[in-house]
Amino acid sequence: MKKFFLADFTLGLLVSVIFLIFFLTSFSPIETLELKTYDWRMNLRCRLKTVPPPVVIVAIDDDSIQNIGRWPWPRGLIAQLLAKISACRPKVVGLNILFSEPETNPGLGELVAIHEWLGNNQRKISAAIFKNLSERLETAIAQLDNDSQLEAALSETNNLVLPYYSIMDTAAELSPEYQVLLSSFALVQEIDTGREGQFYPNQPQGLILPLLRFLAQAKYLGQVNLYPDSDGIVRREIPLIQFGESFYPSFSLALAAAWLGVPQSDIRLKTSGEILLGKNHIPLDVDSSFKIDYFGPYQSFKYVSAFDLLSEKIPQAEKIFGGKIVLVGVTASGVGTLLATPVARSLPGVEIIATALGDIIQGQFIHRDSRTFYYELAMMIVVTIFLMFGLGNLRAGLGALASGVLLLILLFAGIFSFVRQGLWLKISYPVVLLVAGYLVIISKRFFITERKKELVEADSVETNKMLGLSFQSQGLLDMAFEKFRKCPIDEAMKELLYNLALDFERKRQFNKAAAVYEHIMTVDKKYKGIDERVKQLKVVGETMIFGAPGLKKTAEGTVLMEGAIQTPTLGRYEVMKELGRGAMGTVYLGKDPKINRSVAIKTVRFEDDVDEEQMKVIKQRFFREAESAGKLNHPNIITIYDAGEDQDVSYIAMELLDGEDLKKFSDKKNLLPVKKVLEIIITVAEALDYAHSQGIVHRDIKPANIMIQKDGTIKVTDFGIARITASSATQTGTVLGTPSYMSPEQIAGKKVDGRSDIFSLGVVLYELLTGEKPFTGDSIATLLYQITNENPRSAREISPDRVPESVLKVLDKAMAKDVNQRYQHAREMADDLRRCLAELPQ
Amino acid sequence: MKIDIAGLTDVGRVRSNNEDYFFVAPEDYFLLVADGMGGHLAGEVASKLAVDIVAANLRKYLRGNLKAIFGGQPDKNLSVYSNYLVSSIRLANQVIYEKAAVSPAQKNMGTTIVAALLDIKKNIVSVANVGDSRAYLIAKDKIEQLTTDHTLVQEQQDKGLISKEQAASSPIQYILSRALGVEPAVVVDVREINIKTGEHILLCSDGLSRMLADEEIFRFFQSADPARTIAARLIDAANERGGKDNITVAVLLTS
Repeated sequence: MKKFFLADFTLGLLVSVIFLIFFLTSFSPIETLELKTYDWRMNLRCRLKTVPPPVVIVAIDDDSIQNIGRWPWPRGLIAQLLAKISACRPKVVGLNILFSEPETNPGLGELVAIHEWLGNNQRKISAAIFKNLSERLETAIAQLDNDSQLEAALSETNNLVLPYYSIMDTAAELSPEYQVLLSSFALVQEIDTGREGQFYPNQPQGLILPLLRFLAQAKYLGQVNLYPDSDGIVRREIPLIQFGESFYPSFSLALAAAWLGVPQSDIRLKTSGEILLGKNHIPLDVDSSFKIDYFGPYQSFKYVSAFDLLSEKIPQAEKIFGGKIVLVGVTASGVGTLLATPVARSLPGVEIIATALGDIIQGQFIHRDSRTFYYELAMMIVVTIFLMFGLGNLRAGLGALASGVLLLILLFAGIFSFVRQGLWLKISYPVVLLVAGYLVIISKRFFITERKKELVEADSVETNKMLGLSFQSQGLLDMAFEKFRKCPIDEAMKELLYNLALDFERKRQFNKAAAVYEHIMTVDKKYKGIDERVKQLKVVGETMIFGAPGLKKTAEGTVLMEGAIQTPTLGRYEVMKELGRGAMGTVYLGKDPKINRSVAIKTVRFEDDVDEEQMKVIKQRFFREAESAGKLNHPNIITIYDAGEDQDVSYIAMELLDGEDLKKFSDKKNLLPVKKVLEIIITVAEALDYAHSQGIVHRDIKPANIMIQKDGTIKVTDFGIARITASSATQTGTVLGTPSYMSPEQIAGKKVDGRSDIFSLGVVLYELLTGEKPFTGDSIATLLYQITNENPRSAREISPDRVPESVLKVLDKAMAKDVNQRYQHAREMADDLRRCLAELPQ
Repeated sequence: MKIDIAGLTDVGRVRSNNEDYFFVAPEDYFLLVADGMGGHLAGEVASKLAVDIVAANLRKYLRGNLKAIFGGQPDKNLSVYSNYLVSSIRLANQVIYEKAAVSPAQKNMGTTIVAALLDIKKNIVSVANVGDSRAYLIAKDKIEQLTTDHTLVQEQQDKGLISKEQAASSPIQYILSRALGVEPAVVVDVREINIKTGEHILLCSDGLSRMLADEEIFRFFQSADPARTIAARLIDAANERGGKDNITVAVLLTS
C-alpha cells in the first residue's frame, strides 16, 4: 500500500465533511443565516413584481377608531360597513373579524324583559298605550340588537367568507347543529395511491367558530391563524388544518376558492401534498405549508379606511370594490394583529392573508422541489472538490481570485433562482463551507509560509549556501546556481561559484559555466583569470559539437580539448585527449578517476535523422550489444568496461591498448614474416572461436581491428560494434563497415554467424601474406559482385615464396563462398594453420 | 564501549521496486533509514536524496566543515549533535521539496526518515524522525520504541479514539501526517537518550515493524552475533511473514 500525506486535500475533505453533516442535519446557526438571506432575497424579488392581485382591504385603522370610538365597535356598525361594501358589488367579501360570542348588552336584556312583561300584562293597560309602548320597545330592541343587524347584513353579502381560529387546547364540544354546519365546509380528500403520508398537517384540538347564526350566512369558512417561524417572522402560510377526520381551509384558501368560483366543498386535497383548486394547484411542503411570496412592503394592496367608507368619503366606491375581493380587517395599533415579515417589520395580519391569497390566485410560491436538495448537494460537492484539489495547488492571489469567483457563482445561483424562479436554494451551506475551507487552508498555509519566511530570513545566506551545495552535490547545478545567486558574493561565495562553474564545464555546459563566471565578474573581474576563460568558453560553446566526427565546423583538431579549462567528462570518465576517429565516432583517451585506470572511450554517433522512437530502439540495441561484448573475457580480446550515455553521446569504455593495428602490415613494403602472420591469425582464430562459443560474432574482422601491443600480445577489438552501428549508420548508397572483408552472406544481408568471421579472417590472411586484397573492385558494386561470385586470384601467384601449398588450402577453405564448404569452427582453421606453421622451413 | 553498525535493505516479497534507502557510517557513528513515497520511481529518488543529503551534511558537521544551522538558530534545549541532525533533515526537506517542484515526474514525492547519531564521548544517542519509520532501543530486558509514528492512526490512538489493535488494522494506517519533502517546512521530532553498554539501537522502515511485533524484534538481539547478521535475520523474518513492503534495517550494537 502506498503512503499518503496529510495535505490541503485531507484538510479540505475534513472541513467539507463537517459542513455536509451540518447540511444534512439542518444545523441551526446556518439555518438562521439562511433565513436572513432568504428575507434579503425576498425583498429583491418583490421589487420585480408589477401585477397586484385584485384585493382591496377595508381597514379598521387608527383613523377609524379615533373618529368612531374604541374597539370593539357595536356590531351594527360592522353591519353598516358590510352593507356599504355589498352595495358596490364586490365579487368576494372576507370578514376577518371573528364574532364567536353573542353581543352582551345589559340594556337590551332589560328592554326585552320589559317587552315580555308588557306582552304578559297586555290586558291591564289601554290598547293605545300598549301599542305605542310595544312599538317603541320593538324599535329600541331592533336598534340595540346588533347581532340581528349583523346577521341580516351577512345574509345580504355576496360570497361571504367568515373566519375561525384554531387552538391547540381542547375547546368545548360542538353542538350537533354546529357539527352538521361545520362538516359542510370540509375539503374533499383525494387519495394519491402510493404517495400517502408525505405531509403532516396541523391538527388543532379546538376551533373557535363564528356564532352559529352568522356561520349559517357564510358561503366559505377559513382559518385566520398565522404561523411565524422560530425567529418570529412569517414566511409561510398553512392553507389547511386537520380537525377530527376532516380538513378545513385557511382564510386565504377559502377566499381564493370564492374568487375562482370553486365551492368550498370542492377544494380538493391530494394526500400526496397538493391542493387542487379548480385548475389551480398549490404544492405543499411536508408541514403542509407553502412559502409566502410577498408583493412588497406595507400597503402593497389597496387600502380603504373603514371610517372613510362609513362616512361616504370614498368617491366612486363601486369602481374600487366592484368585482374585487374585499377583505375587512383590523389594522389599528394595539387592536389588530401585526406580525413581522421579510418585507416589513410589522404587517397587519389581513395583509399577510391578502398576500397568501394573491399567491394562490397567481399560482406563484417560493418553492423547493424534490430536486432542490440535489442541487444543493451538488454545490457542496463542487466546493469540496475545489477545496481539496483546487485551492491547495494555486498560488495565494490566484487562490483568492478563484475562491471569489466561485463565491460569486454560488451567490448568483442562489439569488437568481430565488428572484426569478421563486426557487429557494439554500446557498448558505456551500457559501459558509467555501469561506470556512478557504480560511482554514489559507491560514494553515499562511502560518507555515510565515514560519518559513521567518526562518529563511533569519539566516538566508547560510540557508541558501547549504541548499546550493546540496543541489550541487546531487548534480542539480542549475538549482544550485539559483541558490548561490541569492547570496552576496564574498570570498567564500566566489570559491563556491567557481567550483560550480567548473562542474558546469565538466558537464560540457559551457554557456552555463560562462554565466557563473560572469556572475563572479560582477564583483571581481579578474578572479582566478576567469575573464580569459569566459572568452574561451564562448568560442568553445559555439563550436563544440561533441562526438560527431566528420562534422563541418570542427573539421580538424581535438576540439574537445581546446579552450575547455576543466577536464570534460563522459559519464564517470575524465576525457584526457583524442586518440583517433573512425567511421562511427571518435576514440578518446579517458581516465576512470575512481580507480585511476586509463581507458579508451569510443563515442558512437547515431544518425540525427531518425525519429525519437527509432533512436530509442537503436540505443537500446547499442547497449545490449555492448553488454554482450562486455561479457567476453579472453586474453586476446579487448575488454569492455562500461557503456553509457552522457548528454546524448553514447560511449563505450574499454581497455586502453598500447600498440598498433595490422593496417600498415598489409602494405607490400611492410609485410610481416610469414611465420609471424600465421601466428597472429592462429591467435585471432582462437579468440574468435571463444567468442563464437559465447554466441558473439565479430562481423567486422579486418587488419584495423587486430592490434599488436608493444609486448607482442594480439588483441581483437571492436567486437559486435559493427552491427551496432550498421543499423544506425546506413546512409543512402553506403555500406558501412569494410566491404573488402565482408563475407558473401553478409553482403546478401543474411543472418550471419561465426563462419562469416572466418571468411573475413581468410581475407586478412590473404592480405597479410600477399600485401594485396583478394577482392579489389574499383567500385563498391564491382567489389560486392566479386565477393559473391568470383574466386580471388591465387595468393601463390602474387607471392609464390610466402604462400606454401598448405596455406593456400586454408585460404580456399576459409574463403569458400558456400558457408558449408568453409571451416565450421575457427578452431579448425587455427589447427590447420598450426600444421602449416610446423611445415614451414625454419 | 565497542560499537558495531550495519544496515541492510530488501525489496520484500510483494513489491517490484525498493523505495527504501539507508546509510550507515560506522566511523561517524550514525545511521539513516528512509522510506520514499510517490509514483514513477519518485519514492526512490526522494528516499535517496534524503539519505544522501543528511549523510553528507552530518559528515560536514562532524568534521567541522560546517557550523551554520539550516534555517536559523540552534535549539538551545538540544545538544549540538541533535541540532546537527535536525538541521540536516530540514535541509533535506527543502532540497526534496524544491526538486519535486521543478520535476513533473516527481511532483508530490516525499519520504520518511529516521536517524540516529551517537556522541561516543558522552554515550548519548540523538534520534530524529519524520514519518513512520521507527527507532527502537533494545535494553537488556526490554524493547522501547523511541519514535512516534507520524501517521493519522497514531494521532487517533494518542487521542484515545482508537485502540492499538484497531490502529494495526485501520484502513488509513498508511496515511502519514508528516513527511519529508512535501511541504516547505517540516517539524522534526528529536529525542536524546543515554545509552549503556549492552543496549542497542535499531532503525527500520515500516516493512519490518508491520511484519514483526516489538517483542519478536527484541528476541533477535539476544545473541552475540555481529550487527550485519542480526540485520539479515530481521529481514529474513519479515520476508517469512509475507514481506509486504520493502524492508530496511540499520542496527547499532554496543558491547
